[in-house]
Amino acid sequence: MFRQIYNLVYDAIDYIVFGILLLAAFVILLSGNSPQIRKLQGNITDTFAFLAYPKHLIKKTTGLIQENKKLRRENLRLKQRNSRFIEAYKENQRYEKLLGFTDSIDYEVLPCRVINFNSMAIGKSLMIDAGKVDNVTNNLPVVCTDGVVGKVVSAGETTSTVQIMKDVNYRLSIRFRDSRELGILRSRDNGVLEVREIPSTSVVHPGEEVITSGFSNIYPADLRVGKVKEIRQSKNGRYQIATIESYVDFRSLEEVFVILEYKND
Amino acid sequence: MTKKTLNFIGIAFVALFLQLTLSRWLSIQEIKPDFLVIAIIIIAQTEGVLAGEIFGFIIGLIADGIGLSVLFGLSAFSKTIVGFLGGFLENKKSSLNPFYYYFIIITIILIHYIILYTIYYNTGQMSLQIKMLRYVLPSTIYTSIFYILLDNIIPIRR
Repeated sequence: MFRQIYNLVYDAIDYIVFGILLLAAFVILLSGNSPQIRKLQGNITDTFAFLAYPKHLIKKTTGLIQENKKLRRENLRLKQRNSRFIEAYKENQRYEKLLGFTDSIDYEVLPCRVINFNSMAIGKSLMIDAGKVDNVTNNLPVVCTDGVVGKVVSAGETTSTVQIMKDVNYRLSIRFRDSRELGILRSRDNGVLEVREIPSTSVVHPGEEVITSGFSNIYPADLRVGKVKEIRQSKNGRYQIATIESYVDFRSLEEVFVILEYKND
Repeated sequence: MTKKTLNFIGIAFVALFLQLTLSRWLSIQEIKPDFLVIAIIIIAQTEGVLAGEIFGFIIGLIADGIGLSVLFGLSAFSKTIVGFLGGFLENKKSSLNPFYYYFIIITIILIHYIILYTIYYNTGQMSLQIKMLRYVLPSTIYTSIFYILLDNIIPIRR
């Protein structure tokens, strides 16, 4: 009897293992947002990250990197402050009484290097050389000097995976700077960024700057996102669709900043 | 650790290294060759179904971690199937007509990309035809070209 069962299992071992592995992969896929799975992903990223950046290890040993980090941090702070000033100016125009508006923006940022970008067939993401040891955790915003890049989706000990704006599963709460209209930015399958469902009565115009709304739990307000490239009516004519051009050139991205902490007004 | 296991690890590292370093430079309109699929098919047809599917699962999981897949587990899922299907070609290469052999290989690669892109682009924005023409078929052709080139430069044998 046991011999028969053993023979049966032995004969079908390929199929049994196949079923188990498929089931395991499926469960991992379905529970992708659970902390345990994110931890596993972070550990794998950490373990095999060395394959991605042999050149980077050499560069990291030189002292110049520290100095560059400092300068990049300062550069980002100034650019974001500048963006904030434009916003404050426009607010002042609308609300003349608020002359005493104060700028209390304060970001705690961590400069990081991009050590791998989008190397598989699917997914729009990049790997950075910072992890939990640098206080990086999941869902922290990632920016560069040109604007929003994405968010951390998996933080390992020393490396992290960042989902970029061009990923089809990415969403970002935005505001059009001039018209003050709100919207959700998403990427189409072909990587084009769009904001849909803008009311037909809104006066969003090409060239208008797009910034973060501050309504998300992840991103602070007024981070630069991009500008409106094109605005068109939806097929049923009920709303408008804006095509957004990101300020960030993702193909040549080398340095990014993780915003560890921020204060909004 | 047996010589066979060391071979597996060696092939996995070479494939991962190629994927991480070369794929971006070889990318044409976002279409990249998948060296991991090639490695899995090589392992599967030299070592059989069991080795192929386990190798596919592990390398897929690593690819999901290191290869920055936002949908963690998707590569493991699709690559396990590649390993399973590739295993049926174990020791059959010499007895098969080359065209028939490559047709099977290309079909396996096609199945891999259909699974990958169907799940990843499950947003309803893109029709199946567009998915096939824009991503699945070009990726299949590109990866198959690399497989055929590799197979003719270093003939795959046990």
